[in-house]
Amino acid sequence: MKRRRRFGKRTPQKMDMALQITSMADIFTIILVFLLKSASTGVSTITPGSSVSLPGANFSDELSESLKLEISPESILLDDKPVATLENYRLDKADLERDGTVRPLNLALINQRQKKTNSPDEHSHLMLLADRRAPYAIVKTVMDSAANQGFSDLKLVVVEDP
Amino acid sequence: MSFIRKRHAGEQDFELNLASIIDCFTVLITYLLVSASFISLGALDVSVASSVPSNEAPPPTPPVDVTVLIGRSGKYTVKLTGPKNESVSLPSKEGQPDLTALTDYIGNLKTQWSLEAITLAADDGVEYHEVVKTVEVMRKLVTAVTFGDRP
Repeated sequence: MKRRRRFGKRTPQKMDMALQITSMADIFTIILVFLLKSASTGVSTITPGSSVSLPGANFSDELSESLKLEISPESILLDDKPVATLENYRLDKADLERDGTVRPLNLALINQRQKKTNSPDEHSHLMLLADRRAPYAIVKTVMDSAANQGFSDLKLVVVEDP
Repeated sequence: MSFIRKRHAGEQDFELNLASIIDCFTVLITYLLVSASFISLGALDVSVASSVPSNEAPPPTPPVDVTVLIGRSGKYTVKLTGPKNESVSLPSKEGQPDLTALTDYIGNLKTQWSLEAITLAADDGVEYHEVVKTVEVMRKLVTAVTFGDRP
């Protein structure tokens, strides 16, 4: 009892404390405006898959949004939808046409071509996002498939080196 | 002179409750930071040789056909056909493709022939980043780079 009383005496004086959050709100507003602005100016939907590491380049042309073709070690994706399976960048022979192009990719590109015929304003460019370790053989096969379906103008997407 | 304002009758001290605004801002900032991409992407314009005609304007017809072949060992072979027939090998430098030698050689050709288009090919095993580095060097010098078959 004695101890409790002693502690009771040491209780500090109660003070009204209010955190000054006006300046914090100011800082948050600035950060928010900056993030919103940078999010609206970038080509936001171009995000390579987790297994794709893009090559770097110092010089680059303007990047405009168009149909996205991606080559990862496991698959070929058209607009984020897998169209062909790869095994360490190697295609299954059953997926190859006689001319060496990729059959499922050809079909997917024909579908895209038909969609574009309905909306002729869109460009026939194609963005190619390939893993930096991909061998030229698979890249060329995919490019030939695209060219045969009328997508002969490509944009090789690269990470801009600082 | 006194700066203390006299409170009029009916006037009340009020304070905007910023706590809920801060909460909203915190959620928004977290979402934007998570979804933000901090890498800057660019593109290199190329074309692929095809039998199907393109909608775009064809690349300028070069006075001399120049084909750059990237070898698996990093060796470049530059083949000239047309008014001048020549094949030049640019060996690799410390196992890496000699981009400086290629820049100098293509730069000389550009001065000599007003070169505006180059065809590029590579061995099957050449990695994509080496192809991109070569495209980058050539795009600095000429306006059109076309991927073609090996000569």
